[in-house]
Amino acid sequence: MRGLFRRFCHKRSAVFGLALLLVVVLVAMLAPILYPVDAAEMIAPPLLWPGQSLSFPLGTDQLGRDIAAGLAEGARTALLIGIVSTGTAVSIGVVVGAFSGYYAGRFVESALMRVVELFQTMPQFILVLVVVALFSPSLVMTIIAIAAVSWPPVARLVRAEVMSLREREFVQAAVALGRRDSGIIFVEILPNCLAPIVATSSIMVASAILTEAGLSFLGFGDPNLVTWGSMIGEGRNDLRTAWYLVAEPGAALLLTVLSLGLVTEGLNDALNVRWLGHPLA
Amino acid sequence: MRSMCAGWDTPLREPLARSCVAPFRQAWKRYGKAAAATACSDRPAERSGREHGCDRVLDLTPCSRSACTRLQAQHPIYPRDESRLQTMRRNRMPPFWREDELNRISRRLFVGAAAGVAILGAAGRAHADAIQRGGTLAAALWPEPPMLVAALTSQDQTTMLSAKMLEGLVTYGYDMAPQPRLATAWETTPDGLSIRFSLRRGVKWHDGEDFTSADVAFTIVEILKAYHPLGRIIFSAVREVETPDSHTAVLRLAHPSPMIMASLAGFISPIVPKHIYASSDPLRNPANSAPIGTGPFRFREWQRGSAIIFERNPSYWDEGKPYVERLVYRVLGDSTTRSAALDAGEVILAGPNPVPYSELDRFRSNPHFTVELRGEELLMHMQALQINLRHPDLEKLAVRQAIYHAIDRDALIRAVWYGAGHASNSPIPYQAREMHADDLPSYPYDPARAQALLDAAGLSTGANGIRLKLRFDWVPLGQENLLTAQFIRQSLRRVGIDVDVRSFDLPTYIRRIYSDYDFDLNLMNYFPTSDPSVGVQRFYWSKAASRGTPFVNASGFSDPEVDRLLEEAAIENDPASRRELIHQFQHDVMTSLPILPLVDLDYVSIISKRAHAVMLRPEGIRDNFADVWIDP
Amino acid sequence: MSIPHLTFVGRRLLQAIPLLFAVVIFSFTILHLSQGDIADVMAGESGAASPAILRDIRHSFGLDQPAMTQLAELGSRVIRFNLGKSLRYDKPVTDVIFERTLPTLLLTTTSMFISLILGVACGAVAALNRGTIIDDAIFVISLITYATPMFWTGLLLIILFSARLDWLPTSGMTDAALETHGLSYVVDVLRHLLLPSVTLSTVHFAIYTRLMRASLLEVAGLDYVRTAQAKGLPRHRILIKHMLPTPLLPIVTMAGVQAGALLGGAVLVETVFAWPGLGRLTYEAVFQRDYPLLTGILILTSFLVVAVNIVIDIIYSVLDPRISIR
Repeated sequence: MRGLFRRFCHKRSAVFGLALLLVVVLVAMLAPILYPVDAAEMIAPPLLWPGQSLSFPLGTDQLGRDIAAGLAEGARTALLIGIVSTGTAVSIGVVVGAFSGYYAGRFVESALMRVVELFQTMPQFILVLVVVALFSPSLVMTIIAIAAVSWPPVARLVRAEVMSLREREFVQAAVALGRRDSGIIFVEILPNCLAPIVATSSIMVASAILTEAGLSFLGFGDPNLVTWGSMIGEGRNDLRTAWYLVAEPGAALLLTVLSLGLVTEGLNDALNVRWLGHPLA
Repeated sequence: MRSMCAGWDTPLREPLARSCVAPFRQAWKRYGKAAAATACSDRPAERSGREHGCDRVLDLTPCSRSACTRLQAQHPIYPRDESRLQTMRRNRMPPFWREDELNRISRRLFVGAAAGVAILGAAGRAHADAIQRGGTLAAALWPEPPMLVAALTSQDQTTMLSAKMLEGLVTYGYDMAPQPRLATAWETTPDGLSIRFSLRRGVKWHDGEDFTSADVAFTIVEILKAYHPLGRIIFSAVREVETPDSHTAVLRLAHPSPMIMASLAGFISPIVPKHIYASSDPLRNPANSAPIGTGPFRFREWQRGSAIIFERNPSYWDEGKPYVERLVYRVLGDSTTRSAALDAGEVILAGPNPVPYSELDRFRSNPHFTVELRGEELLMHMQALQINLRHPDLEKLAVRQAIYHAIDRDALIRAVWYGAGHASNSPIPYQAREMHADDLPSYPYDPARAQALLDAAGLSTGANGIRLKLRFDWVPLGQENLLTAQFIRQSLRRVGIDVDVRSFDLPTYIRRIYSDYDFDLNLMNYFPTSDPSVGVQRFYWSKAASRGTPFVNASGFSDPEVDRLLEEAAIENDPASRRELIHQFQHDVMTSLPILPLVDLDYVSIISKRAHAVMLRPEGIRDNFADVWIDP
Repeated sequence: MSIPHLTFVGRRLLQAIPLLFAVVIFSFTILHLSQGDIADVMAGESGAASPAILRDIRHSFGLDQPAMTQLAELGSRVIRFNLGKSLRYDKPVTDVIFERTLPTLLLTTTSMFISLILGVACGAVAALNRGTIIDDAIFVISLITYATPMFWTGLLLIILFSARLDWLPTSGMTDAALETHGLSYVVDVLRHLLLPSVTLSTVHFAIYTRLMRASLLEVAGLDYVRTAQAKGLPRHRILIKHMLPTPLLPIVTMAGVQAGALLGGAVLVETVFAWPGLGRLTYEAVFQRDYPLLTGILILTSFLVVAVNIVIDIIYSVLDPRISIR
């Protein structure tokens, strides 16, 4: 682990990314302390420009809500959605991929692969949109929908790795010793696939955050929450007069995704992972 | 001299960021009291709060025509540097302006604007008389309508487009009196049981067939009464339509029905050709996408997702009209895109509500455009909160009153609609001056009173300050409704009502609210129309309730007295008595509050100064455009 | 195309049939599980309704029949290659889709072109100048283009290039107010195409850049490249003849995978630019509960993705002789 960290720190950009990410996480965690009043509360004069008032340094929106509070709460929601949906997607993907990789050539594998293909042929964003919009936009629904379309690439990846590891001696040894299949998969094989999974996860978090922003922008986010995407969507109508309403949450999105991308890059290099067949490898 | 001041009372609003005390003084010194009298308006100051300094608006209106004349006499008129003014307006983003900078720019603005106001008036007048023929009028359209015939639906864009090709029996002036269109004369018998129309001669359908009374009879009985969502109300009294000759139609009614003569505009009750529609299912008739009508424009082409194109009808019955050669309605889905298209001149007409409300001021102060509030008098628009009286707590009148007191409607209008509306106190909008009652019970913003009412109703504050949990639904048509939902949510939170805002797409919303009655509070937009028996009765009449039908009484409201008033008003021919009944109706429902009227909305159309004669009549952009002409 | 190729294609197409059936059932199910139907949509848009009209609309479209009957009817039509009529437009589904396919193809292929060419070029430049400031700069640019939301970029571009500078049209595919033919029509479309395709290509540009760079770096360390260097071959010859073909494989794969993603991303771009394409049509079909249209679109796009995958596999076998068509 220490070697991993040292290798990670060799890249300046990766360290910068990690620092940026930690800032975001910190803001998200401290949000209830920094801004005890709900970000949706209309407590201020509306449409104040950033810097126009000391108590509202980032300005206020058309309903008089504090933008800084909105950004902080948005950070919480973004990270929550990103982490939970990615975690779910990875769990599903790992299980599906491991089983289909191990039982390659048998019926289980082709059935699972057909399901993966089904999910991959449908335009992903449309699928998320359909599921969320038709079953009432809410936080839980968004997480489920994003997880549901994110797991196929993980499954594919894990399948490839498991298939290549399956023929190795230590696995043969385990088979010879009479270990159960599931035991072999989860104890022997998967720990060796961890590297690419970890590297993929961090970029999946970024992608989930962007997808949620797109959904909120189109008006299908949870209406009871303040998220970065909803702030951009609601500020869109004032683009020409109060463009800071769109610029500030957009910058927050940009910085968060950027930091995740830098961290992914660093992890890739540190874990010495080869091209994985996913973006930003 | 006087003609140059024709547009003097159009205020030019120049928003400035900080205090305008210095320019006010300048204006006073330079132009004298007459000009500076309305120089500083407090309007936006309410929004930003006085503690943050004065975000005021410089209202450069000379306070009288004579003041304008005097201004011109004192200061030579030079051509206004338009692009410079635009740049300066656009650059007016940062809030910090140094005093001297402010003075320098404001000085130029003053002179330029005062001159511009005068030139505006001059320009307006100069073109008044010289009608130009030809040209293509490009307008913005959103959303793309499902069909182009308004006889089967009341969808807004459908009615707008249909009216160019299909006409109604009459049209209306701003006094709401009918004027001839396909009918040249009409007469109601004293007992109110029959209406006789004399139809115009020499009118032909676009395919060359003659327009006759058979078309009128067929349309009213087989199409409008059977299929049109409002038509079934409007023509409910019609027993049959007799056609004694090819240019006379007589409507025989089961009882007097004053709403018929008020609802014959072309975009509400268009006449369709019998020879096209009689033979098949009207809903699936291909003419719905390529209409045949009598109107000044013919259908040319529908490029799905892109544009709908009409061309001039050379054999239109009104000789010489229309003046425009082609109409192109461009499908533009995004409000920012529409705003940019208007700026760039790619479209010269857009409505209703084509651009975000925050941009209306920009268009108001742009001399190339008129922001029109007219053209909506036949429909009008309201926003109201429909309450599900089946909920045990909402059944209590005190709770409903509390909710009404908890919402600051003026603040809502300023925040969400940027001032384009009025707080309503009646289901009938203030624009309907005759029918709108004046001395109705009022429910001003009073959160303390709301809390007291809720306490009295037995809903005490629970653990975390919550008395009651309610679900809030809103009709998903427009961004403003979401903001309104959030505004109301926060407002009700403050008096201890926890609101869960739900988001549905349109079909789910319709099912949940009107089929399942699965709602507590429902934010709805509706058009009351110029006759309350058509557009307002459906929400309050107990017999209008119909499970599965949207936009009717879904509250579960049933009051025999209200029913009586509505039923009598629908058949009362005497205008004075009818007004009495409607006034009494408003008193009753504003006391029992099954629905909380929130806002009388101002719908705007943005029309370039290049287009003329669009608002000759209250049908406005939903008129047939026979009289419209454009500058080359 | 030789016999093994043809049998491969045939076999893959046959394998795709159950997939297409699954798509049909999926799209039908998801729309029927959700509440409301097209009659509700039409009533909702009208702002007024009557029970008789709703009944008539539902009967007219066969919506009052039990779900299984409707599914069976849909299935039997699809087998006979008849996608039926769109409920909303009352035109054959194939017509509606066809009207919108060309604009979508135009937009997606143009943006794919832009992102591929720029991405490959930048990736190569970054790899060749590894560790220098150029590498870092390209890295930062690619991350920023990946991280910026597409809808935001689109709106900003419109404000800048159309509203402020007035160089390019704001939206749409053509200027419907002018009737253009021939060359001027092509020019008109190209002018309208520029901003949306640039917007759509931002994310993919980042992906291809990174991919190209990573693959090139992988290749650069391999023996045969060092052999070529030792042999004294000129740098550009090594680059083009020896190094370039290898990364093309993963890039071609990625392009295929992204083909589906483009349709989804196109929804946002098509909304912002009012581009009359399939992405927006799909979105509308969902919210109008137009299930013949939605089914038709999903079938066609799935088929397209399957076809693209087949083509990629064939390209694979051509590019890399080690891979054989089995």
